[in-house]
Parts: sequence; C-alpha cells; structure tokens
Amino acid sequence: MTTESVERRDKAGARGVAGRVFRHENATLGIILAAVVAAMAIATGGKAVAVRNMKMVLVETATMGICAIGQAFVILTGGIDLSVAGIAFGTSALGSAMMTTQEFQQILGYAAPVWQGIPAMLALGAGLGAISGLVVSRIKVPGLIATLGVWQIAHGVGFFITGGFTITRMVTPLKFFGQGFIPEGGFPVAGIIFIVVAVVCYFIWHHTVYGQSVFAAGGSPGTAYLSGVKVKNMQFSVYVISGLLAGLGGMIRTARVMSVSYSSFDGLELQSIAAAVIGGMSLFGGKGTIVGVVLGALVIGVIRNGMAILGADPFLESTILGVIVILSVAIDTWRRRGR
Amino acid sequence: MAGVIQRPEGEAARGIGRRVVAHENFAIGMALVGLVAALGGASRGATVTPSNIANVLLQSSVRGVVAVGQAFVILTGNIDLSVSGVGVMAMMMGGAMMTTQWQNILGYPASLALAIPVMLLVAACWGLLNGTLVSRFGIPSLIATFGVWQLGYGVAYYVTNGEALMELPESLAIPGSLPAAPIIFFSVAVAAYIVLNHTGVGRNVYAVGGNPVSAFLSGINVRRTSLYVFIISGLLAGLGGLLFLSRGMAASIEALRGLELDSIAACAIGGISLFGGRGNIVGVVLGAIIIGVLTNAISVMHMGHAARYIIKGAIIIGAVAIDIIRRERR
Repeated sequence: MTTESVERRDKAGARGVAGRVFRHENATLGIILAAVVAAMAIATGGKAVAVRNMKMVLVETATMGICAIGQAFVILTGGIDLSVAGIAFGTSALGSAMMTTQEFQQILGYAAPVWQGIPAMLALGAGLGAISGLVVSRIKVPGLIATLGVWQIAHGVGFFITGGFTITRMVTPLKFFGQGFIPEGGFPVAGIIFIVVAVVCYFIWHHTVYGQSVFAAGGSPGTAYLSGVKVKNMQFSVYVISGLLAGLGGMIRTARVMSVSYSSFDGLELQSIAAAVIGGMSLFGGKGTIVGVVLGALVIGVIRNGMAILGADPFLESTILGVIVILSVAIDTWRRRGR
Repeated sequence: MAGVIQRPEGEAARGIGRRVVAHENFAIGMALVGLVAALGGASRGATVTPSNIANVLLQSSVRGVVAVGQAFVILTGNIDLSVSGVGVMAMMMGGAMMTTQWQNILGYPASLALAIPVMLLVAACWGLLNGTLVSRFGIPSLIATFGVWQLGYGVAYYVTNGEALMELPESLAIPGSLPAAPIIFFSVAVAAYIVLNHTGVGRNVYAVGGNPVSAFLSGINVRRTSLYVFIISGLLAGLGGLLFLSRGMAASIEALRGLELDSIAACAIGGISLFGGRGNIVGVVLGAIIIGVLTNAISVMHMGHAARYIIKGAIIIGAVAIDIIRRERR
C-alpha cells in the first residue's frame, strides 16, 4: 500500500505541473464548469458568453451561491439545512415590509432606510438559524428535522408579515445591492458581495482556529471532543451562519427584483444543497472546499442562465440539475473507491 | 440479562393500565386524542362533526399511504425525498392515458384497468431507480432521491406540457372518495404492519437500519433490502398520486408539492427514528392523521397560512425533541 502510494506520488511529480493541476481536488469541477460554459456558448450562438450576460449570471447566482456557502458550513459538520428558502423568504418579507413605500404594507408606519432594513433582515436570519442550532446542538434533534421545522416556521413568519401578498416599491437605495455596479457600468455589486463572502469564508475555513474546529467536529465529532473542541458550540454556530447568509441572499434577491412574494425562494434549499454537493462537499461531513462550492454554484447558474436564453422549459432545467447532482456524487463516490 | 427477564414480570404485575401507558405509541395516541379534543373545543365543535372527521380521513389517506412507504425507507436509515416527484409523475402519466382531452398520450382514453396498473408499475420502477442508485452505486439516499425527485417533475412536465389534466373518466372518482380511500390507506398500513413484524423482509429492514454492518455479518442481503424499501416507497408514492388524482379528478404539476416533507414529518411525529431501525407503522398512521387533523383544523378555523406553517414547524421539531428526550431518560 505504502510503496504504491509513494510510486503514485512520484509519477504525479514526474508529470509536472499539468499532472498536479489535474489531480487537484477541484480540477474535475473546473473542467465541468468550462464544458458547461462552452456548451451554453455554442447552444446560444455566443450570447451566453457576452460580458453583459456573464455579469448577469454572477448577479443571478449570488443569492444561491451565498446560501450554498452557508449550506456548506452546515454540511461540513455532517448536517443539512433545509430551511434556507424559508429563512430567505421570512427575512425578505420583514425587510420589504419595513422598507416599502406603500403605506398600507409598512409594519413600522414609515419607510425604513436601508441601514435599518438590512441589519434587521440579517438579524432575523441569524435568529431563525439559531433555533435550528439550539435544537440540533442541545437536544440532538437531527438537522434534517430541525431545519425542516424551521423552514415551516420561517415561511409562516413571512406569511404573517406579508399576509400572503406581494410586496413591492421598496426604498430606492436598496436597488444598489441587487442592480448596482461599481463603478457605474463596471462590476456588479451583488457579484462583489458574493465574492467577498466567499473570500471571508475561505479565510475562516482554512486560516482560523474556528474553521479548523468545524472541520474537526464534522470529520470525527468524538475525536474533536476529546481534543478539546466544543462540538456543541460548533454545531450551533454553523446553523446561525447559514441563517445569516440565507438572510443576506434573500436581501440580494429582494434588491435585484424589488418585489417579494411567498414563492420567490421556492427550491432555494435544494439548489444550495446541489451547489454544495456538485462542489464536492461530502454529505458525511468533514470534507469540502469553498472554491468547490463557488464553482458548483456557478455551474448551476450558467446552466440556468443558458436555459433561460434558449427559452427552455423550467422543468427541463430541473431535470438537468437532477442528473448533474446524481452524476457528480456518483463520480465522487467512484473516485473515492478508486483510491 | 436478569434485568431483561425481570422487567416483563414486573410490568405484568402492575397490570394492564401500566402496560398501556408504557407502550411506545401511548404518547402519540394521547397527543392525537388531546389535539382532537383541544381543536374541537377551540372550534366549538366544528372540527369534530362526523362529516369533517370523514373529510380528515379522506385528506389523510394520500399523505398516510406515502408516509407508510417513507417509513420503510427511514427504517433502513435512508430517506426518500423523491415521493412528490414520483407521485406527480405517476399521476400525470395515468391522467394523460385516461383523459379525453388533447393531451392524451395514447390517442385514445385508456380504461382504468390499464391505466392504474401502469401508474403503479411506473412508480415502482422509479423506486427501483432510487434503490439502484443507493444500494449499487453507494450514492447517499438524500442526494439520489433528490435527483430522482427533479427527474420525476421533469418527466411529469414533459408528459403534460405543464398544463392541468382534466376530463378524466368518472369511474376514476371511486378510489379517492369515501369510504374507499381510508380503506385503502388502512389496508396498506395493515399490510405494512404484517410485512414489518411478521416476515423475514421486515426483520431485515429493522436489522439493516439498526446496524448495517452486523446485519451484513449475520448474512442479511443489505443491498437487496435497501432496494426493496425504495421500490415499496416508490409504489406507495404512485398510489398516493392515484388517490390524489381520483379525489380531485384533475391534476396539476404543483398538486403534490410538499408531500416529501409531510411524509417525513408524519414518520418523525410517529416515532420512526431518522437514524433507522426504530419505530412502527401504527405510529406512522397516527402521525399522518395528526398532520391531517391539524391541517384541516387550521383551514376550518380560518387561521390562515401563517399559522399553518408555524404550527406545523413547531410540532415537527417538538415531536422529535420530546421523543429524543424521553429516550435519553430511559
């Protein structure tokens, strides 16, 4: 076994940089993304790779990508967060009802400025995530059930706030976070937020004690506990982070579309799980990278965008998503067995 | 060992009352009775009229049948997210065979005797697909069934172009109406009870869920058992789709949305451990009825969507939390 692995490493070394790039854990994913972009470019006659459209893809993917990063925190501990769509709707309902200029829908009695509305959204998101976190870490309810319940509760909160109606006409400065560019006509703000979140989370995962503790708690909770990691606190914190990021994702979607209805976020939890899984997160916990999750989100984003340009059925899109998810996990399982 | 032998004797001495209280389904049974009583009081009797109770049973049948299938899967430590996708797909397939509208895929309206077996068979095949992905390729069930769920919706959309199916043969209304639907539901539950408690397959299901490695070492075909449970779940998801189609006599692609969550919730409330190997069918039936009672009461009492979601969410978490706390005390 040992000689074999040494030999393999030598061979890889002999093959040089190309071999190392190919053997990198995100190589397959990068190739898949390139292939998907190429396929979409051909299918749409180049429209998909126009700079303007690429910016659109980034903006459209930002919400799902940010939620997928939050999801990745939870999956890293071996849990799963089904509540992201509910939390995104609950927080967006709160934010839009605070910031709308339509008087009969205002919950504060006045149109709140952005600096009040957005922090309130993030706080509600973190708070709803904290419910899952508490129930999972203290009572040991499986994450699947806890977040399923919180999904329903958050959706109910959203319904309570909006009364089931669509809220529109939010204060104009909110637009900046979804439709703005820095500088004017330059890079999309939503894309910048997505990238900043990804970079910060990359740093947290790989360069902080906290990040290493989350990895440890996910890989082997027993060993982590014995090495002094506060496993319960780790479990609690990842759900809070996921809730917070779901709130942020909801904010970006609200700012982009400037309207919120109860079905705005349908399927977001499954898309975020798909992005994380395509990105190489192991559902058993303790394995995965932020770069992979971002690539996974972009793969889905590019496909969705390309299908929209082609005017394809929305359900064809879900079929393709389903096949990709199964394939990517099958490939991952097969590769792991091969080693 | 001595403790194990002594316990039943001690319980017997304390009489039947004690044994009833100690029974694993006692808490959930009491929860159902308490819930019905409380809602009956709160609605001033509107929820406990015979016609409304019949209505609850009717509405619970779809959810209950699917939850029984889900229970088989969860008992082996897996999960089936595809039930609504498979159910919708079977429903649309059957509907598109029987309708007299232009959407008919055969070119002529097929009889029930042809369409219903096809629906169930197709659904079972999709369960087989789930089972193959999980047991042969080692893909986690959460992901495999999630993918198949998407595929199911894709096929359903392909069959119908996303438009609602109507103009179905009148005889189709029978299975989804009273008293047929509740009878089908309870027959399925009884059959599942017998399979789980009195056959080799049932013992294997519990063994695989309890500890797959020791099940394998004691000669149980773990792969085949996982395959069986997914086929059962797919078949029952198809049956759920049939009952729904028959009750509404129309099918839209959104019809069964949320069924996977409801069926998992019914199992969780009914005391099926999500880690596998623990729980029974009686609990699942009670769990499905509890969700039915709640959903119905909320609409009868005009409490609105917000209350429906919040109460359902709180109950799902609460039921599992109580179950876990109770187990730890023992």
